[in-house]
Amino acid sequence: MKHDLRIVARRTKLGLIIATLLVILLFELFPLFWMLEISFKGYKDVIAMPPKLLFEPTLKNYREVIAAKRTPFLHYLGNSAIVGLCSTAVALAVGIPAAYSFVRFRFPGKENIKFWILTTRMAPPIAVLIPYFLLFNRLRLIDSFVTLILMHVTLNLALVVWMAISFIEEVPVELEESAVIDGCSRIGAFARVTFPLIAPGIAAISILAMIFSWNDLMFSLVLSGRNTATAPVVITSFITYQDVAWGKLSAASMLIMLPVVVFALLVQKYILRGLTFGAVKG
Amino acid sequence: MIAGKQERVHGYVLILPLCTVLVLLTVYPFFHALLASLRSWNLADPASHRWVGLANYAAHFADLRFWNALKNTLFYAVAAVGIEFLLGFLVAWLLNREFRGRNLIRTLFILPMIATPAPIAMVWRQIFDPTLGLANYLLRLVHLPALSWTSDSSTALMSIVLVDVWQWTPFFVLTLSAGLASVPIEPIEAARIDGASNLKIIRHIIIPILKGLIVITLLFRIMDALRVYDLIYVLTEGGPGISTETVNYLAYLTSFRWLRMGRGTALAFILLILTLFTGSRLVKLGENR
Repeated sequence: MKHDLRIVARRTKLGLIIATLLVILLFELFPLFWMLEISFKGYKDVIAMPPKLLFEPTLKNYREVIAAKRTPFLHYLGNSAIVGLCSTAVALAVGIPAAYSFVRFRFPGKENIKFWILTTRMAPPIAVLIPYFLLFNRLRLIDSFVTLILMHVTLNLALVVWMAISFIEEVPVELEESAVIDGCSRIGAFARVTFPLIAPGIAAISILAMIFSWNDLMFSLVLSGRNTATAPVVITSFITYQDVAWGKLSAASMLIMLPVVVFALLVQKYILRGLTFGAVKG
Repeated sequence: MIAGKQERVHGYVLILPLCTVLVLLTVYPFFHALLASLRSWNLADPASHRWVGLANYAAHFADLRFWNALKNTLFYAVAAVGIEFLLGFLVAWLLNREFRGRNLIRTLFILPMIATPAPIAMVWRQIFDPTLGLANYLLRLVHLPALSWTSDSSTALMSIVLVDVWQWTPFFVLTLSAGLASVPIEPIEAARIDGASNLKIIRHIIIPILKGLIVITLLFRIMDALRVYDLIYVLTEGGPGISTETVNYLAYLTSFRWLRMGRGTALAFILLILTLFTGSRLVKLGENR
């Protein structure tokens, strides 16, 4: 009897928790739901107020966005994918070894270099847009993937390094040392011991880097061109001074989100409790 | 001694690629901008181009519009990031247990951050419309008085904060979820057996372990909130009046609307110095462990 009560209490608690989560989730999702709905609406239903919940869904907006001859949307989405995936990969490849070095090695000037990296995220883009344009223009590297990828790496490096530092710091150095005693090289110890333990962190970092690259408008707008324009640059053409093409804008927005959602779904599964390191840290 | 030297060399080798990328890409724009901020440089008037020293900075400090923008920027950053952190922590904490559909819920929670900023800000502008917007439609539905949202100077800034909270709470959900996933279970279970409440566990076990991560995530959100620009551009253009004008938005107006590049860049540098100061204080806070 007492046992039953405890189960009921636990169920009620879990119910309350899920209810709280769903309320906050509702707030987080309703603008997106609104946009999703509009993307399936014809022109007349879009401007109807109060919002029509029952309407005849149409794929017209999606067809128009995808089939547009002058601005082949899928091509720009492909550009976003090239820039997003490459810049995330480079930022991780350059940033994680650096973060490891900052946590595990002692060398002069370390704290200053760390802080300098942080400052690269502080400058208001408005101040540096023109110098960047002049720089890449002189190098004849406007409208080149190399430029965009490098810029997005720069955009993300501070975040990657500093967040990776905070995750690596949590792993006790003794775990690596015992692996080295067992015959691992230092790199091997990092790859086999530390990396799996910080996998949830790396997953979160890569999702964030991907999102910041994917949604960057400022640098992509100034430094890309006809061949390399990314999807967020092109989507602004649906917003003109006189009118907003709501149907097409919404359909395009949904299409833009899709690849990142897939990426997040694939990577998210690593955000779960890994091995505990309580044994050493406890 | 040899080990010490080797360690230094290894340390430098591992950060070399990173430093190369950053030196190549940040040093030139930085000095270019720094010099620009010390010049009078009006794009509409080529004759104006000359060295003026710190006059651009002095002009801002004497301008009430600058102080208004500074006040708005600080209020925005503190209010938005504060709410986002508390809400994000709550969600991450509630998600940190086993139940069916947890992964789906967590993925849904990060969608607002994935949404492309410009179009989604357009959606919010539509939601805030006093007569045709969804926000007031919902308020009327539950018989609450309608609000003017972004079209009244007393609620405009708070409305933009609301959108920021909507967009960036997921940042804390994601990062703190990853952090909580790496907290060892044993001390928490031991504390729970001893009868410790959730609040006590969070305060005495979780926060000390995650202190580094919490400071870093707060730091990054504050740095980004201090230079907020795009939401303001789409939602209010700094209005009504100058009630939602932030430093970065004022810098944009000065540089690209009024074409006074030197003066606009000086404003960006004032913001950079403010951010440097805030950043170094927060970093110190994280190191006191």
